[in-house]
Amino acid sequence: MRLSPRELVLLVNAVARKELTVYIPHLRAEALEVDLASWGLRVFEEQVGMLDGALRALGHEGPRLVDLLWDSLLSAGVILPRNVDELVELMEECAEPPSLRSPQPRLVALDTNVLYNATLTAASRLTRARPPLLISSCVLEELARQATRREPGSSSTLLKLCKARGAPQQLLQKLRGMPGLAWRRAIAALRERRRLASTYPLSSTPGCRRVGDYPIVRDYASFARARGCRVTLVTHDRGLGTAASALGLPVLTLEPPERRVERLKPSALPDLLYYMAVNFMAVDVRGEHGWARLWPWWRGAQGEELLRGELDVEVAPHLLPQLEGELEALRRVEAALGGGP
Amino acid sequence: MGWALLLPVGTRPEAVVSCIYAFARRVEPPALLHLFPSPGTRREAARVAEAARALLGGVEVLETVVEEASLLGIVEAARGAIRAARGKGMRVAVDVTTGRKVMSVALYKAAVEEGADLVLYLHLKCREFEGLLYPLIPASCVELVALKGELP
Repeated sequence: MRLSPRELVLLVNAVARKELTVYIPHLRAEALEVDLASWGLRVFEEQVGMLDGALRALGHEGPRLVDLLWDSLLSAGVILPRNVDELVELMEECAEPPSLRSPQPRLVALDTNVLYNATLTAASRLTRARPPLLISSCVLEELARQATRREPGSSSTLLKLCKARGAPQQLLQKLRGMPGLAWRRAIAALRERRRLASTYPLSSTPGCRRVGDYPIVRDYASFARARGCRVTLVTHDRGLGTAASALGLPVLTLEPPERRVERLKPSALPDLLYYMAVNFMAVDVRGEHGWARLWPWWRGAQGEELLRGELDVEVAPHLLPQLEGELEALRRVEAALGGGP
Repeated sequence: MGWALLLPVGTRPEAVVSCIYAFARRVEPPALLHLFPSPGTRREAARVAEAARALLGGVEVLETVVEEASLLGIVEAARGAIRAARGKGMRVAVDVTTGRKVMSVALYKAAVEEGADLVLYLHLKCREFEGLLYPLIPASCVELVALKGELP
């Protein structure tokens, strides 16, 4: 069964009414726990951190699992950059039409990591301002390259650890066929670009085919000069911020969020599950009524399905007929209303 | 004995469809829907009717157009609809969640005066889900409340 992130609510409602656990099945580790009555959120940072220790001992060099966990929370807008209020201020300023006092059109330019972390989607919930956004074609080129490169999803060290923790053979087999983290995150970033296009006025710079920090900064700086507009770069990367300043490009560097959270905004749950699946290759959601497993990729997946953020969902057999019926009814009703995904 | 469900129709058809959804899931799928749009929301009522048929299959849908500020006019129309449904041997539920305030008040008054079996309100506890259909809202964020009568 394939579900878009918004449809994951159907799944959550079928699986749990009181408490929902997000579990990493191949590592046999709990990652998150949500109290669905109070929306209290518990992050199992220590438990996941211990797995990082084991991975390092095996010689693993990839990103730390704890970082992927907090990255999922950031990308879902559960935690926010510490200076997010500066971003909101910038958005409100840039959404104002040009005036005699500031006659230049103002645009908010995005670094690649702003798409990776869905920062502007999170910010859209904090203000009604919808400033014009600009994405460098160097950023798009970088994402396109990542999305066409297919490295294996799981390193040998990760698979070793999964085996050591008793992950079933069938699950390991499926993990071996999964595309790599860079690919999965690039697809999620391209999905974010699509979401931004439906929320903000969005344009791209013309024809930059190079990738890397400096080409991005230079591209935005030359766009600003050629069009006579004020372009402010938004980035999570302090290094890039310094490079932009050196070229005279106004920049807002977002500060890393505080790694502490006690509550979840209910509307952030679908995206949280989506980004957990993207970052960890597979996650289980478990509750008092059953379980489901979410995969960010499946054999034969079409680009369009992936850009809609669809996930492949396995569900406890006793929940399947009810869930399929609900999904079919929902899609019929949405079609009748002329809406839907 | 099937259920008749009466609902005012405002400018957001999704909200009306959510009430129908909640009733179908929490009570049972109604056999008759009686919609009360104003002249300005007839198009929304048509969309609600189509969505309700998509959800419930062969449900009968009736429509009475009312003036949205005419309290007594709406009360009379709703009383007539309740009596007609009763005449067909149906149990009657009135959902007052949607529509203009005068429409909700009028339907409530008619329901109480005619002794409808249920008067309902779909309580959205998390405002961030406004405009979304019932199944897309986490169960703990929405509750079908009986203002009169008892939910089964």
